[in-house]
Amino acid sequence: MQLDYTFHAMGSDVRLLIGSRLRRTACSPLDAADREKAFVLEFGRRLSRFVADSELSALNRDPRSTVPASALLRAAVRAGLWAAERSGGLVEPTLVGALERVGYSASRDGVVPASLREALDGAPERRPARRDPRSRWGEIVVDDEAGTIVRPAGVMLDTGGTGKGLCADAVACRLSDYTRYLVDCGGDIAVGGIGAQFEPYEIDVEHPLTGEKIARINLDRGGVATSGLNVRIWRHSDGSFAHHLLDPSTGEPAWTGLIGATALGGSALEAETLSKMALLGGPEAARRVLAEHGGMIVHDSGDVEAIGPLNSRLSAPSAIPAVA
Amino acid sequence: MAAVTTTRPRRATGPDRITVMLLTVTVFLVILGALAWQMRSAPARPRHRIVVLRRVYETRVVETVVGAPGGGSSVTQSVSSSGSASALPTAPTTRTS
Repeated sequence: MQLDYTFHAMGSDVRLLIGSRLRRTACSPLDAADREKAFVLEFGRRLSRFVADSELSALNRDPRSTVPASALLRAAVRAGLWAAERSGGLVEPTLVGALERVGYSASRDGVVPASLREALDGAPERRPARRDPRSRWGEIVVDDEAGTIVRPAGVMLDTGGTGKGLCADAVACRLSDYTRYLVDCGGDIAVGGIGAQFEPYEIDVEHPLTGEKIARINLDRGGVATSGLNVRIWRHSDGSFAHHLLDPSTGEPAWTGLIGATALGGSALEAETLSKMALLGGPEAARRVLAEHGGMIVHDSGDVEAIGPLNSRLSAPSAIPAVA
Repeated sequence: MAAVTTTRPRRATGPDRITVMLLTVTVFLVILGALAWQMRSAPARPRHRIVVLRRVYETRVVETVVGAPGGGSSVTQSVSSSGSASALPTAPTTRTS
């Protein structure tokens, strides 16, 4: 028996699959789902840079270099710094100014995305994104004992790049009293529970151009996430296109030859970080990034390529077309 | 003058103990015999086959946000169902968000 519970939060659909109770004292799966929905809504509200009175917005407005911060905000910033460290600075949390300059200054929840095919036709020459040597994320310190975040004055933080993965992991931890659980925060998915070891979850991968299911992954633990250009993409009044995955070295949208990347990881946060690293790094780097845990990339042409140990987890490996 | 107390022997007003015991045993044996006769004469009934019906109930909660993002009202639909394969939800999907 499994509860299937879906709601909308953080600009995406959030889905919880919760198995039976492991302990008699645990609340029912439905009560647990209600509880986690409240947690996710609160998580999103407190950490959104689009909500003026959120803790993140307050941090970004604060002129001091040392700012008191709640445990949640510290955890979110720490996750962003972890991703920056893990990715060698490709996935970094201080690109708020650049995001606003390219037009991502308000939530795009519910906004119809521009055509990715048209955007690809007019996109500049493809090249891998690179870290920004001038970036100051390395100077940010999260001090849990003092309950503060120390960062150079004026540096603004965005937890959006890692927030959904972190949230999925947090909710998964909170569901450890159940036999099996899957937490899907807008496509960033965390899986766990003893039941999933024996009967893994089957997770579909969506093609960013066609929306078709291109593969089905068996996942018994950890996380899987997908990054792509097809949802947060818009057209400027001059006819040019922009999206939300920026090249840190230029502050401009990255056009790397990939339009989507799916990564497996030890957690949803790691999977989300790896998928962004893969997409930003381009095809060659993606093959290296995804070699350890496995993953999948989608080229500008729409061709799909499975990488590393992903093949052993696919329900139907033949569903992936050969790379041209 | 010393009081003289005389104890009159109690006279049994009913049957003595042995008679009561004999009657009790007799009644018991009669009832036992009647029951045994009834069981022997009863028609042989077929043994009931025990069938366990296992019903799997799935509760599916679908919450749809209607209206403006972040401020819209919510409609919650809770469905309990059993058995039908068509009621199974779709597989989770990892996708761009």
